[in-house]
Amino acid sequence: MNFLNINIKKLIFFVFVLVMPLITINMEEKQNDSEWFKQPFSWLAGHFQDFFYNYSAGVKTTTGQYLNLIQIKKQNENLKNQNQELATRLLKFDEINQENERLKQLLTFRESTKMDLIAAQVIARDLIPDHSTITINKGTEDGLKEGQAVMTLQGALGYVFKPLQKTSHILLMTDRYAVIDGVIQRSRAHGIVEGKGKSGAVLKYVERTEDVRPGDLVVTGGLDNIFPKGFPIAIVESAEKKQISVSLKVDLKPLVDSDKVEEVFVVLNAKNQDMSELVPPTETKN
Amino acid sequence: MKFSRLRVVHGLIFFFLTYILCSLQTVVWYQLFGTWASPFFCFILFVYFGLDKEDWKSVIYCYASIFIYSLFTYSSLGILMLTCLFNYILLYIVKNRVYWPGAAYFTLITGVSITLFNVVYIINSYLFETRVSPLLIWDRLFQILATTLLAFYAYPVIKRLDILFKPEMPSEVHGELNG
Repeated sequence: MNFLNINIKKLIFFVFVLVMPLITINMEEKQNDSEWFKQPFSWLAGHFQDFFYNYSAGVKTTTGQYLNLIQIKKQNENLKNQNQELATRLLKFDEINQENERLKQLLTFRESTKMDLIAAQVIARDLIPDHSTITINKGTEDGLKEGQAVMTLQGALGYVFKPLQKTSHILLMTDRYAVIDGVIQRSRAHGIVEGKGKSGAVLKYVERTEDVRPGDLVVTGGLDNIFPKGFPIAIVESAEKKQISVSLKVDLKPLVDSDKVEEVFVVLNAKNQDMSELVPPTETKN
Repeated sequence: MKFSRLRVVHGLIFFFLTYILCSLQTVVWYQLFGTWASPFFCFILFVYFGLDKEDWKSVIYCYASIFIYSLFTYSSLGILMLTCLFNYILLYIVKNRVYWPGAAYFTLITGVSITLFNVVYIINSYLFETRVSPLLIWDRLFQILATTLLAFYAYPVIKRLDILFKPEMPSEVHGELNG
């Protein structure tokens, strides 16, 4: 029957392959949305697409937001770190500024006097709380000796009692064992300033007849060979005449708050400097 | 290393530790908290030695530590020695009567010891000094509380250090067995 010896199956296959695109093209040309049987499928397809679009858009947005959040978190972390670093720098800057201001004042003071002074920093304090001593970062290798005066710009602070090679221990004037020769600046009444712990100091051995009033400035007398003459020590808080005592009871408030001292001067050589030239007489409050 | 040498090393470590604790109290605390009263760091070590060591060791450490304390304060060596020795005697009496190992006991005894230290110090000052020590109630109270609290946390650290550097007695039996 097959005269041409043609493989029918192959032929059908090729015809189908060639015809299908032609049919499709033809169908494209004839496409009409209004065809009733297509509409539900198109509707379903549209909804599917819409659903998947919304879903993928949602996923995309959420992923984007999440990625953004990670980014924001990182940025936030970085900004926080930066902020902290800047705050620390600012604090450091303030500290340096203050230190600079203090050192400037120290330098001005040093230049205005003929004494040999050495600046030092307070590094430690006493092991037992009832003694008022501090330790400074200058020692015998810097020329410090026992008995040298230690002062700040505001007034006398104490004296060296144990100089070591690199550090020195200073007995503050508020310690109960500290003794400094003192004079009331206004009336020139002489006495001995003795520490009485954290609460301040007292001026002892002032004659009853002397004129001492609250608010008077007590300056160094210079007899103890420790401090230069006329350097401010304390302010008279109260002066009391006791019935049985031959001397006045004078309570003093030190000019220097030893708790807040950071830098001090050690007087290496006073060179007979009279500080009263530099410290103007103060007016009494009363 | 020989056993005697190990013992010296052990002693030296605690000797330097006392220095470190004294510096911590006078320098580091001051730099961080200013003139606010500090815990008595080195006293914790004093109590540890008083409680945990044999008599001769604790006596040697007691004297050594008093000597070191005197380097960091204006207080006289005599007053410090009298105060610390009184404390040592108390520790000796207590540990021979009531003793149980552990941080709780150590903290309790440190609390009692530091309180007594302050009380005895004031009494000694009244008895032997021409210018008596001020009471400074709040400072002392803070020191007592802070030292006691610190003792609880310091005990395991000191104990560990002690075990770490403890000189081991050479065991002859062990040697023979292995030989």
